[in-house]
Amino acid sequence: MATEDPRRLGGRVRSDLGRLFHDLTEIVQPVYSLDDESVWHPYGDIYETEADLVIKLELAGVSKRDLAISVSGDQLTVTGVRRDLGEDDAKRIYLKMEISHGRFSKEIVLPDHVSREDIRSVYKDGILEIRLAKAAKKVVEVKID
Amino acid sequence: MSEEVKDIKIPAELPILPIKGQVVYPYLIIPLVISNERMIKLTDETLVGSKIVGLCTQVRQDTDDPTTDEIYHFGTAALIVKMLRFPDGTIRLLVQGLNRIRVQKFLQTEPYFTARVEVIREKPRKGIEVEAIMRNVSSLFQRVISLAPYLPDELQAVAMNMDDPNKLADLIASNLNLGIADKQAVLETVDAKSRLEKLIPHLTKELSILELSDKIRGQVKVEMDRDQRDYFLREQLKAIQKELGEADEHTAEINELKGRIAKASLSPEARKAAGEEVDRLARMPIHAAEYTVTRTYIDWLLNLPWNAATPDNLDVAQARTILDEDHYDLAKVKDRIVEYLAVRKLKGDAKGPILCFVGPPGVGKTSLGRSIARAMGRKFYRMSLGGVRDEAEIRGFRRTYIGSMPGRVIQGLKQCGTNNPVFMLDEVDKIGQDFRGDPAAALLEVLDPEQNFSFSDHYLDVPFDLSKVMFITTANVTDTIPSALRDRMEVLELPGYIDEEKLRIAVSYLVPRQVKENGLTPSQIEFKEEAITAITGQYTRESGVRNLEREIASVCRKVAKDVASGNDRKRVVTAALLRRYLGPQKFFPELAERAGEVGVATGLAWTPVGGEILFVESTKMPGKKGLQLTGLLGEVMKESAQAALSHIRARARQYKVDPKFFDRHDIHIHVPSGAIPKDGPSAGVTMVVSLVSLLSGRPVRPFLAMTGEVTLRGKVMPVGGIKEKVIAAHRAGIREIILPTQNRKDLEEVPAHVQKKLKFHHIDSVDQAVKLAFAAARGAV
Ligand SMILES: Nc1ncnc2c1ncn2[C@@H]1O[C@H](COP(=O)(O)OP(=O)(O)OP(=O)(O)O)[C@@H](O)[C@H]1O
Ligand SMILES: [Mg+2]
Repeated sequence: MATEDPRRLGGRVRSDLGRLFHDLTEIVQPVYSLDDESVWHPYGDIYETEADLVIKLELAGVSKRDLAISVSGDQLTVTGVRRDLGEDDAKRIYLKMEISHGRFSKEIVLPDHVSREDIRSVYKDGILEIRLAKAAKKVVEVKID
Repeated sequence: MSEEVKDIKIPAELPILPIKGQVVYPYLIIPLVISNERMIKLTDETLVGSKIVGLCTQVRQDTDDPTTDEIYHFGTAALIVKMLRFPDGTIRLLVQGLNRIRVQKFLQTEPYFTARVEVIREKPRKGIEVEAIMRNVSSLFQRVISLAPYLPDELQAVAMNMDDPNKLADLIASNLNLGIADKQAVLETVDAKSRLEKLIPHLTKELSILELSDKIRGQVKVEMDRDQRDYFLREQLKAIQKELGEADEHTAEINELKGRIAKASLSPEARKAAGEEVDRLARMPIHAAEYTVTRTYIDWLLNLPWNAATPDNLDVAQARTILDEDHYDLAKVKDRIVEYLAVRKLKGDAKGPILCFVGPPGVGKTSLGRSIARAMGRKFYRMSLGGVRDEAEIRGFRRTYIGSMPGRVIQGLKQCGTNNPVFMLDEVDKIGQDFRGDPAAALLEVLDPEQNFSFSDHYLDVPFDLSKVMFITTANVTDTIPSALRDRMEVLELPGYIDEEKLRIAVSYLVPRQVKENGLTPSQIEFKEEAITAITGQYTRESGVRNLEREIASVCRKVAKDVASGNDRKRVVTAALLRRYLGPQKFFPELAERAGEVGVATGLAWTPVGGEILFVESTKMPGKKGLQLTGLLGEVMKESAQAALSHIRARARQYKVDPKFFDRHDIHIHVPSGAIPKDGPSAGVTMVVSLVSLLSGRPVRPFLAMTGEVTLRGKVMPVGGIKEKVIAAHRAGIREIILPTQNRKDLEEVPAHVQKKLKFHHIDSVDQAVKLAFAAARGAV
């Protein structure tokens, strides 16, 4: 099955802000981030259907042109940026700023049996859906003399 | 993708936020609390732009307002990731370090510091030399982690896999207990190799401290081994004593326990278990931790009422007298109890029914249980299930856990000292459930007559017979009681009292009781009936009588104080005097106040603690086709407001409403009180009537309340909670009620004397409601 990068787990070393601090009031001690590129990591669902491996990421507020999907070896990476949602109000004073903005990335380790080429993606209502076709399993017959 | 995505641009000019007591490195995520006015301004302004600040640690930690000279000029640019403003005005930030920066020049100091900064790009320097020192530092750090209780083991894997020397050094520095100056020195060392080298002395020092404390712990162990030696000697001593026929303390205790077991009345299983445990105890050293555990367990076995019971009072007539002595009316429940006693008398051993008293707070559920116990001559025990989530609370913890105890059922029986008490389980409707097991299932084993003759508590580990216990449960509502439980109980409803009943209860029960409890006699105080009626109407609003009793008690207390200070004349409490005793009136008859307002209609609501009247208020304002809904309405209620409005628009003419109103107006519907969430479809009729009143300018007929769901076509559908709603309407002074025809049968449950006082209109369509609501209304048409 597809799994998330195991480095994401750990004690005082975290890279996923959103998951760790649902609420600012809960943060008590410094945490060391492992990630160079990103400030936040979106939540995702991963499931398999008969034909596909489906990945869905929650990316509300991210514009389509700020998104990129890449595959290298076993790893599928989605990166992008959520721009400041308040940009339209030049003068504003925040009472609360909980929505993560800035760069994000999500790495997913792909299982062997999905295609690296047949990848389709749709972005709608703030959800990015990526479908990877499962490669038909090749049966190799072995002859016995 | 744009370039920006790859790289956060750090502006060349940054606001500088001085921080106290910590040094922030790149990639470190850290919470900050900001209370200084100027720094709050800094934050507010930065959040509108890049959201990046320069964090510079204070050289002096004892000031809240450092000058530029009192902070290090080398820091870290950090992104504000999250922000929360607290009610006291302080701000909490979550920041993530981005890059090392060097302050080149301060540009302003008011209202906060800004500076031109140089962003320091760290080179991922590699090479054999760096590699070697990385390994060295990493292995030192691994050893520190394994010894330091304050560092999580996961760090080991993380440090091991870290291949950037810069990051490795920062990771270690941020996790070590270093002083501020040392941390700052690590920050200011830009070259990776030197930074790592800086860490070596700190790591070595930390390691030697940790090793030393490890050694100290080792010495404690040596001490313990000596204890063991003492123990063996003592055992030998015992053996010698035995040979000489001298019994020691231990043996004396064992013999005493054996004697008690022989005399105690136990179940066969309990006797066997107790015997075995005493044998184990005899072989155990007194100092062993397990000794006390076993000893406590034997005590539990010995002190439980395995066979002790109180004889039942089977004199049915006398039981009835006692029940009547304690409570007014509640005939249905009392009959049921008397019936149960009669069956017991005839059959000898009747399996007890599990009664469940359901009703709003303060109607006498708990106190009735107590009275039943008194009538039957049994002990009474009450246990609240509210919020019980853990199966172990009911069934106990296994003895393998230190400090474990039997569950609360067994504890209760021990406290009673009999195995046939009246056992009240309050608030079954509030029992919880989560990962610690299902308390409802455990409760079922307690209650179910098919299984409870051999109830197994995890702690006791031997079955206990609960079949002689009379269980009574109470609840405010039935629908949250787990259904497996509900199916096995006989529900008896206590629906709440109307004013006349409250008066009778107060006169015959509450007043005499409170007079006595406050050390007064009837020659010192007298309550006029009008005073009681005034308390129920103006100082309380409830279905039960708890607050009524509380107010009566508070009058009694004040009188008692007066009497105690030597003033011995008799007080007559009249309605007019209440103000003096209880302060200003707490509740006003809302109906009178609101009668005649245009746009207001009276509805009826159901809540778990009884019925209530509720007002639907509509107003209009210039606008266009807007509909605003307030008062914390749930989705269903909002939809029914929309349906009501659509219906009126479709039938404007029939309802004497200007068909164009909606083109020129916005409508606002509010359901007070605004802070209490409300939901459900049953306010549909009320909303239509309120809107028609508003739009046609006619007030609704006074003392009229209504309930019913409305379909888009104007049909009226039945709703729930009729009994409670009708009783509440009566209590509030309503005289006429509009109800869906299909709810007619529900009126059977409403007490006859309430029915008599009200006029009911049954309707099938909302037109009928509108006709009734404005029938005899005076005012503009
Ligand atoms: N019919 C009655 N006759 C006399 N006293 C009554 C009657 N009903 C209630 N009371 C008195 O009202 C007080 C509150 O009753 P009780 O504590 O039994 O309420 P309850 O129904 O258990 O409420 P809750 O649901 O909040 O536990 C008690 O002092 C009780 O004696
Ligand atoms: Mg109670």
